[in-house]
Amino acid sequence: VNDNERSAAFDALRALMISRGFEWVVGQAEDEIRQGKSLELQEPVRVKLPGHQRTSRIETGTVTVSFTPMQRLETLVGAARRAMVVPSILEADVVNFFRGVESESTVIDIKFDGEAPADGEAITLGGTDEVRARAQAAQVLDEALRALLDEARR
Amino acid sequence: MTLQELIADIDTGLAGAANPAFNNPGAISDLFEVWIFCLVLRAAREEGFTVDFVDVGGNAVTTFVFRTSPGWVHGAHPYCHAVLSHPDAPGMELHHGVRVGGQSQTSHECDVALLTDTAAVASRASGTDPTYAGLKLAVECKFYASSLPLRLLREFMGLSLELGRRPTWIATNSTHASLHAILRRHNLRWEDELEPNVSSADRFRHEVRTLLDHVQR
Repeated sequence: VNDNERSAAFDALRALMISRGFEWVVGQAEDEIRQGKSLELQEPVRVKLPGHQRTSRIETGTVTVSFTPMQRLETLVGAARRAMVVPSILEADVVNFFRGVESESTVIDIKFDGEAPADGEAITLGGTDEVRARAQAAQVLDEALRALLDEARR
Repeated sequence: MTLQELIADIDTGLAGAANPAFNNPGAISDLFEVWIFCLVLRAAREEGFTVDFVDVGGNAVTTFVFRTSPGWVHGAHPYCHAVLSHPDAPGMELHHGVRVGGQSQTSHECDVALLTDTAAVASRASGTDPTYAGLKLAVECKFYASSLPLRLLREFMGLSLELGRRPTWIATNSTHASLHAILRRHNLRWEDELEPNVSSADRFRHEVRTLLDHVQR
């Protein structure tokens, strides 16, 4: 797999995420990519400072470098995983806490509700079986994302 | 398989995996805060605390209502909290998304706040926000799809100071390249790359357990 193919995979995944309503995830990943990566200086740098006769030696510092095509793809896949896989696992764990065998609680429903109309519609977490099925599907999606990265690293 | 075929697999997998209700940053952040709330309660149970779920009037609930925007311990509202009791510890309440008065007498939202029951009762009776003095622990929760922006670490440092250096964590599913260096330098608490079934979640739960053990008489 070469860098052109990695870039094409990035573009294809980006387009898929946008088409499925995850443009906010793409936005966060692209912000991170735009900022570049900070790396510690590997070797001392000599610079000529104004008003100084001799060059100065800079021993430590950080430099910012651009992402490689592989790093861009890793960043997008990481963001996809956090936004598309992890929420279903969180949801299942919360439902399990309140309704599972460990629960000892009388709580049946878990609801998110805002005080103002601007807070959006209330969300009630789904039934135990529904949430569990979603968490299992999230594990399959997680494996598919990992497979993409494994293949791109070849 | 080609990269394009693998992306087609991702498209197929996405259909059953994602709950559309949580396809926006605000809703996922709320869910993450509630998961952290549950981790604190798990730690409490493991330390022998009894956990009851009640509404603002102290009545047991069958529907637990969480906030989606910052609110108050006091007032007439439909939101719930957990009551923690233990024969050898002072009574405490765990709240989600409530304002707590800081050292400057400015109120700040705490995503997860463990308050003494004295502070919480006084807040409800007086209609004022509890102060940082009544805070046993606070957690600032951050869910990000990408790397955590640096400004959030700066904000957390300010919040922690305002809360009088009470035990305050930043808990995030993400991380930042300088997170450990910055927070260690300022002696602040953090747990990054948090999600179910990973070591950081166990670590966080154990830290909370230690804190709860130390508040026992």
